[in-house]
Amino acid sequence: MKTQQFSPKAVMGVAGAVMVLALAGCGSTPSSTSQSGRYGGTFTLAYQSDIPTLDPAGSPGFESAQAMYGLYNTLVTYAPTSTTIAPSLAQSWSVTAGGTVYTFHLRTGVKFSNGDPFTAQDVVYNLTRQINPKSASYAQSYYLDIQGAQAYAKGQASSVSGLKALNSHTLQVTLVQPEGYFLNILAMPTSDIADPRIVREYGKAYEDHAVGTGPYKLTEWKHNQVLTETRNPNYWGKKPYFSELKFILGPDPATQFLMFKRGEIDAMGPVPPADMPTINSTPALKKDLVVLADTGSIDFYFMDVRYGPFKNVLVRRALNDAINRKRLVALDAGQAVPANQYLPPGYPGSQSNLPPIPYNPSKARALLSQAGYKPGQLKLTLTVNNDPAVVQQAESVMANLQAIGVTVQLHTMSLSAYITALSGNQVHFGIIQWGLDYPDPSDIFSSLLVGAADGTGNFAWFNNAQVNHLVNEANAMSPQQEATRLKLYDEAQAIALNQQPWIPLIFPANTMLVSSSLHPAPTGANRYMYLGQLGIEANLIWK
Amino acid sequence: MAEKWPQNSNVTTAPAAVGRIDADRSDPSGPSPRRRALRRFLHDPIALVGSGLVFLMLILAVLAPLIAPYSPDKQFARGINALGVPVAPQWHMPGFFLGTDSLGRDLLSRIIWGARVSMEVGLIATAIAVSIGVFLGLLSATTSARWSNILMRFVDVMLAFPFYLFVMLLVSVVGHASTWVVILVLGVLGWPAMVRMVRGKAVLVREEQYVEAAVASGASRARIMLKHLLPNVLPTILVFSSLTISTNIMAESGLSFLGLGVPPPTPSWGSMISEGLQVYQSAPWILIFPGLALALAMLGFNLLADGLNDALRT
Amino acid sequence: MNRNIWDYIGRRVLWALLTVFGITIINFAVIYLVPVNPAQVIAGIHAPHQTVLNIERALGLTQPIWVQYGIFLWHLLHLNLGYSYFAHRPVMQMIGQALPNTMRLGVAALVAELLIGVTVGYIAAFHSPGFLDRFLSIAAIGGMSVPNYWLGTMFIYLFAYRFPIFPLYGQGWANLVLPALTIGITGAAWYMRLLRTEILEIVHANYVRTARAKGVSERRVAIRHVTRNALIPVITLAGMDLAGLLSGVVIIETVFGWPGIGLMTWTAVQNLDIPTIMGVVLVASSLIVLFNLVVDVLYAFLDPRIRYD
Repeated sequence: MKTQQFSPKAVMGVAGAVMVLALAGCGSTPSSTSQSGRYGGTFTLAYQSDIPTLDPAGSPGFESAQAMYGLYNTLVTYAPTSTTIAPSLAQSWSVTAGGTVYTFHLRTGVKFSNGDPFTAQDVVYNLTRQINPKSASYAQSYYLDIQGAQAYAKGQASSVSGLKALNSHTLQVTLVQPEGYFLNILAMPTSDIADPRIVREYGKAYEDHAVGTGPYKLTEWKHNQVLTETRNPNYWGKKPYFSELKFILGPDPATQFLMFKRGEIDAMGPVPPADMPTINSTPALKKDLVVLADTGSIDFYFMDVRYGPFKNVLVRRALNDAINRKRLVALDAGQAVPANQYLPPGYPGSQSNLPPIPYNPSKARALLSQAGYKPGQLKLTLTVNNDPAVVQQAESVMANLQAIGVTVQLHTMSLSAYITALSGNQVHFGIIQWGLDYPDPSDIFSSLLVGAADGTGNFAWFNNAQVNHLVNEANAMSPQQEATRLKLYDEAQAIALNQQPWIPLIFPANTMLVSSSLHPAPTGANRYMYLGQLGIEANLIWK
Repeated sequence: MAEKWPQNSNVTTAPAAVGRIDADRSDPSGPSPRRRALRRFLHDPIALVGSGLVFLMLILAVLAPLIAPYSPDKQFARGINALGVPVAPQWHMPGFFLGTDSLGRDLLSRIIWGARVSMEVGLIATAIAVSIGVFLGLLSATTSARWSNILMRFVDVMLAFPFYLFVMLLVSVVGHASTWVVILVLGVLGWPAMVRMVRGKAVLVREEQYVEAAVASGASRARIMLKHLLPNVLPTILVFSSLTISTNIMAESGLSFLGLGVPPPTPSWGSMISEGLQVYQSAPWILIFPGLALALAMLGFNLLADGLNDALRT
Repeated sequence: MNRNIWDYIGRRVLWALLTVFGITIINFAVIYLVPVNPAQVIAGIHAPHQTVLNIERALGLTQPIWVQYGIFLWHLLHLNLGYSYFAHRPVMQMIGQALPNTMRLGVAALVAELLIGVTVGYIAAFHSPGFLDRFLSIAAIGGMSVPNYWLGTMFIYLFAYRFPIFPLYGQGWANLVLPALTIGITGAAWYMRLLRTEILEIVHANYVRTARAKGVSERRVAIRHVTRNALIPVITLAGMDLAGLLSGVVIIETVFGWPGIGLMTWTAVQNLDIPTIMGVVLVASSLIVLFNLVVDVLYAFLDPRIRYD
């Protein structure tokens, strides 16, 4: 996840920003928690902008999810340090053989932080709210495979027929067709369960009074200044160690780094590459550095395969071979891995045995001349958003391409202008920084690599019948057939890697600084995405 | 002033700075005012230092390809190490005299080429603003009270705009960043204060006898504007232009700081300083040298304005 | 007061209102030229068209531009500036929270500018011509030649981190010192030069010569006549300066993370948060127009020689 210096969004677009890889822990008390330490104290963090929203239907992005993590629960979540689904508000569930009917048995005795009881009707309310077009949730499409959701979204039905509370603690969800990643969607922050009574009472002002079933409750939110969450006495799960989570809102990463060094905040992240040399040369800071390699994000450039020179696969291969990816890793102060495929390392479907894409300018030049371009003949325009790190990366790529005789003009624009230009199909050669919404190949393949026909997300307009078929087949498989699903995605990726509609650049690592007065030290094997999770899920405790 | 946008500063300070430029013009004795001004200018150390700095910047801008040791865009393999750390200033030749930037480019070469961008933005944007401002100012001084009033009311509206916000919006209108957009926006928004000032000056001159005589003898408006009014407002224009050049250079660097300025990889001092502000704790040279270049250029034009003001005053 | 003046004031007030109205129209038009679709920004890059359309409908972006402007005016009549697209809050409430912060910073910055500018200007004028005058003049010009964001960052590093005299981040009174000082140093030169010029001008003017002839001591001449007269233009400048400061100092507020109008503006422009941009424009231009109006009206009362055409 890249930080935008001035943008409230961490990564491109809200949807792409949200990456839900949580440690579960809720309810299931890991044995490692029998550590010595004391309860209490405040865990202080900083963000460079205000928290955009605390409403699950308010298009929560990266920053929002950090603060929402303490306030809410989802039906299901992820088991510690893994990508497998684990129980949360739903204690158990069953899926019919066809993979279309899910029955969730909800935990009993759960209360919202204000004391309201939690029931199956509340889940129906929250999921229906995501589908309601009036909520204008960016995540609506995730829920449209629920039976009756389309009709409800079009105003043809007064409720979603596929969402049923069988009794106060049993929920039945019927899908139109099997969906291999439906449980992943229920673990996204947009599936957080808010207290319907409070939502109705406050309407548009709900988020200032946000109430969920999470381990913490909202106590103070001074916009652009500070947000405080205190321990929820009604929490159903393991009692969290810290009595308070405090988010200082506003300081930019450079100031955060100074604050961390002065002990004013207990953790920060992602660490700007600019600060890495200082950290590497300061033992006390190096000790606090946590590098999480498995962040589930990728930076790549797409090439519109319908457009001019990009029609020729030789050109696409030439550009891929021309990139010095090690240099791009150096620009990230070494906190990244050169990309050799589309699925980030450590994620379901990612191939650990693929060789790196070689940096081979002479081969690239040969491919170009084979494609009929003399040096200096091929002229391209590369468009990127104006985040300083993205621009630097692009300047480096430009130099690589110029070295093989390609003239590149760089267009930079604000992130919002870039998102608009992308969606208006005005960009033929541009960047995508993608953070997985959930750990499943479908999040990359069905969002970005297929569906050229409906014109959303597939900015390379890559339209390969075989890939389309494989991905669609895998998407519509029940989660029980996990191994077969992943094989189909792998076949699709192999074809795409041969056709090269993208130039995969790097898999950025996530770097955090966590104060050494806390223990245990989080390790790279843990998949914390949000700093906000650290205080809850990492079992962090004051020494 | 709150922010170094040309508008703010012009509005409030220009009258003070140039208000009394030719108070003594009517004094008929002694050498010609022009010659006296030149003599004063040449004896004023402030003015000389200012002109020297301006001259230096212009030389750098014009001769950048000859002076710069390397191409400003060349990313040296040895310019950064595997962890992205750039090279510190090296005092031996051939080397990176002022060190390298985060992409491994020679900082000295980029600073020299950066002078070209800064001078382009400063001079062209100012030329646009001053041309519009002088034309409309003189026009308003010679036209009917009614049209003059309409024009000045429009100037009021322009001056009441939250300038920085308008600049940020206008720069975003052309999707991607571009040097010419920055120049045009600064130029096209910079003229209202000039109109006010030129008009104020020109109205006074117009009432002098010899101009009224020219009007009575049926001289055309263009002739009066060019022959009689323009020479008299020229000192005001000179001082104002020099100040505006420096505020425009500063405005470009501010826009670069916000990511809206000159597009990369074009070397611009503003974007170099912005980069320096991120890495100054480990690579202070990336902040110090471009900052110094910008400050010297600003100082040059500001001192020049001050010197011109003093020289042209009495 | 004679009728003329009231007539004049009435026309000025009317004109001030028209100016603000004109500015909102121009601004609305410019916003629509910016190639950003806020609904698409909220929806993200791979959202289906239906999602984008839902959001556009919820934000009212599907209506023609003049209808949207009409709605803005209608809301304005009810003292409502609408909801921010991205902060999900009433713009009025956001301004209500940001404006006091900007006011605190604006006043503190002005005090810093005046303290530095007037002191230095005074010293320079009374040592003119001479080395000290020349030195201070160059120093002041040097101060205005430094980019404020550069100076601000250095201040944070030096006086909040290296020598922790001031807090690194926060909204307290101590947090005001560094940003105010940054603006003060880069802005004081205008006051210094103005005051110096004025004093020198007055010193050479006749009535001071007369006072001297009457045998009043140099010091008393300086304090009584010169200072009082020279401060008037300084105060005028300060009034107009304050209007600019109160309408938000984008770069300084960004550098210091100060939650004022400037930071709000910057965030809103980045995402094209139209209601917020319109709210900020309205507040900022009203302030500038109001301050100009007050200055003009004060002049009308104080100086009968002004012609009211």
